[in-house]
Amino acid sequence: MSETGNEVIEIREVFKHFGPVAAVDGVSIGIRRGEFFSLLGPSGCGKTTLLRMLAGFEHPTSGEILIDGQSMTNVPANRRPTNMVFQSYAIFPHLNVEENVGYGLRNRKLGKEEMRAGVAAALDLVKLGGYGKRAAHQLSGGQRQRVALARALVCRPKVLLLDEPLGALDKKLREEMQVELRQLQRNVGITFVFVTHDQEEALTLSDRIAVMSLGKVLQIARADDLYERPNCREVAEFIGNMNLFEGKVAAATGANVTVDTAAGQLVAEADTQLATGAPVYIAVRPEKMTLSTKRPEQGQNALKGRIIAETYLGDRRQYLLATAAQEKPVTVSQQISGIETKAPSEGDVWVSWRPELARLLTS
Amino acid sequence: MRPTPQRSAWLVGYGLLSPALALMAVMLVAPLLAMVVLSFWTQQGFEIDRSFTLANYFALVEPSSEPIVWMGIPIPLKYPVPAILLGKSILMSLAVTIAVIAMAYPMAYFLAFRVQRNKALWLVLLTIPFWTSYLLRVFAWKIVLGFNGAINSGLKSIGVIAEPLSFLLYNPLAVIITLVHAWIAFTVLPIYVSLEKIDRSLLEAATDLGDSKWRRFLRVTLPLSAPGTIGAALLVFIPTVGDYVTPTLVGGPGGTMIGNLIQELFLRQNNAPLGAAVAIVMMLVIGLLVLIFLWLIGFHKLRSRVG
Repeated sequence: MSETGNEVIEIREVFKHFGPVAAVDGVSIGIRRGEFFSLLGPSGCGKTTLLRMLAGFEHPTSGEILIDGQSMTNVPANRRPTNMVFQSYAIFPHLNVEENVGYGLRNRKLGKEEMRAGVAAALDLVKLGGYGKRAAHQLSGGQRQRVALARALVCRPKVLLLDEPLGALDKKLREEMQVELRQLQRNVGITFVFVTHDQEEALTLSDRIAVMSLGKVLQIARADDLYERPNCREVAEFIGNMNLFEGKVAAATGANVTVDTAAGQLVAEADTQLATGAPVYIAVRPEKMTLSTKRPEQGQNALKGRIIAETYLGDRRQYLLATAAQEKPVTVSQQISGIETKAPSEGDVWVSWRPELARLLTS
Repeated sequence: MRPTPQRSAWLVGYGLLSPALALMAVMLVAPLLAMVVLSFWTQQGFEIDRSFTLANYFALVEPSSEPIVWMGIPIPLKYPVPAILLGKSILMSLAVTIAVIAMAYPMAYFLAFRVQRNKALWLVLLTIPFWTSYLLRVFAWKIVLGFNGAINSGLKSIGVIAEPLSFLLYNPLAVIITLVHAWIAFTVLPIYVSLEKIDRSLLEAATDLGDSKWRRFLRVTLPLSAPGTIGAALLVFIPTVGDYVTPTLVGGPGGTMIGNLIQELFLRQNNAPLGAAVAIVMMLVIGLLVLIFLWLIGFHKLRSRVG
């Protein structure tokens, strides 16, 4: 993972125990310079603890964190080249916007003019120019978020740490801020480490994402890789919707692997060699599946089922299919483009997908 | 006519307030007005002359050609005792207030930031001194500081002193020590509450932005706990200026305060109108001092930002 020297953060075999609980359980990550990197996982997966260890608010039980090649083990939080945007924004209520943004600069030996210019530039950067004299309690949620960003960025950290900064905003504002955050990161070129439990947010924003669960990193990959090529069941289910069929390898011919499942024999492509009899999961995204009233042609995987629920989502329609093979219904998503051909709500339907659109998971 | 929702909310509000308002009207506003009225009358022997006059107030500020010198300050008044005692009381209360805050703040800080479990137990422990009466606690100090008291007999028994120290009791210092002890527990609570209320992420943010622990305290913790601390300081300062029980019991002749004078005027000297005038002047001076203090530290700004 640390093959190149352009990694600004190296997390090496870090453990963090709270009593008997391992909040972070042997994590190693390399984060590249200038990258927008996300830590994604459900609450309690250790992502915030990891971020707080980067900031210096928590200390690893074992392992080491390096920032810019320097070990952070003995560097206190106030001397680290990191700055943080807190989940609650942590805007100082007794200071106005200008004083909040200039807070970190006052710890440096700067002239009065230099400081004023720095604060003004930072406020412009987050589109809050002219808000300097506002009191903290006069700000809206989105504005507080911007002040928190400006306050951290004005210190020119090597790494900006963001702890679910968009969580408290409403949906529309959150989407606007996502776009802005991405642009801002490109403009300033600072490495962002972003913690979120919202997979959509992580996919939208990040160059790379580390998916975490129970203190461990499951997969580190680009957004599209994560979606198209999850490396395990947990990642597959956490990112988007996924239909899973459990089974055993029956035969492997070339790239195509035939799997015996409760729904009959299904075929999928594998990129590793698999032994006959090995337990596997076939994973198929709902939008890769097709619905039809007739049995589809040979060479496709097909299942017979009955539609038990449908949801209209504007740009697509989502169906839940009960099949004889497994308890969990199969989710199928059909894009609505042009005139929609609705699936029949009565009688049997077929759901089918091409082998190369499925993914074989071994764990 | 049915009351509108706003109107009924208003009624409920005043309904809830009314017991307290009634009590304050009877027990506070009425006696205060009586005092004001009384201060405009004059005592003539055993009779009170009820014609309106400002004579009592003039008596308090009547100049004299031969000033009395008190603590190096010449006081050019014909009747300088009230002015001197008021000044002395204010200085003593100030000393008490400063000492109380200096001791209560670290205690409250410890409670808010260091104690993790059983905070309620700690708070209860703090109130233990209040389980006995105020009078008993003052007497206790008399025993501690007295001629044959705990300190003197203790020091004598270990041979540090041969004769009991006489400067412990019956002086302003004894009054200050006793008052500090009496008021300290009252102040821990409001300071504790204002510290406890501080969002911990603000402290982390300050550290993150480069503050050392001490700088963070000065820039975040102290200003954010200022309202509670100032409230606590006023809570001590205002009532202690007029206290008369403590100086009576442990103050001796040197530890007399303005409250003792008012008591004297009302009872032994049988000059209630003058006593009332002194009391009113004391209230006005304290009120003025508090206002100046609040204006100096910019309390209005603090409130609008924190609130």
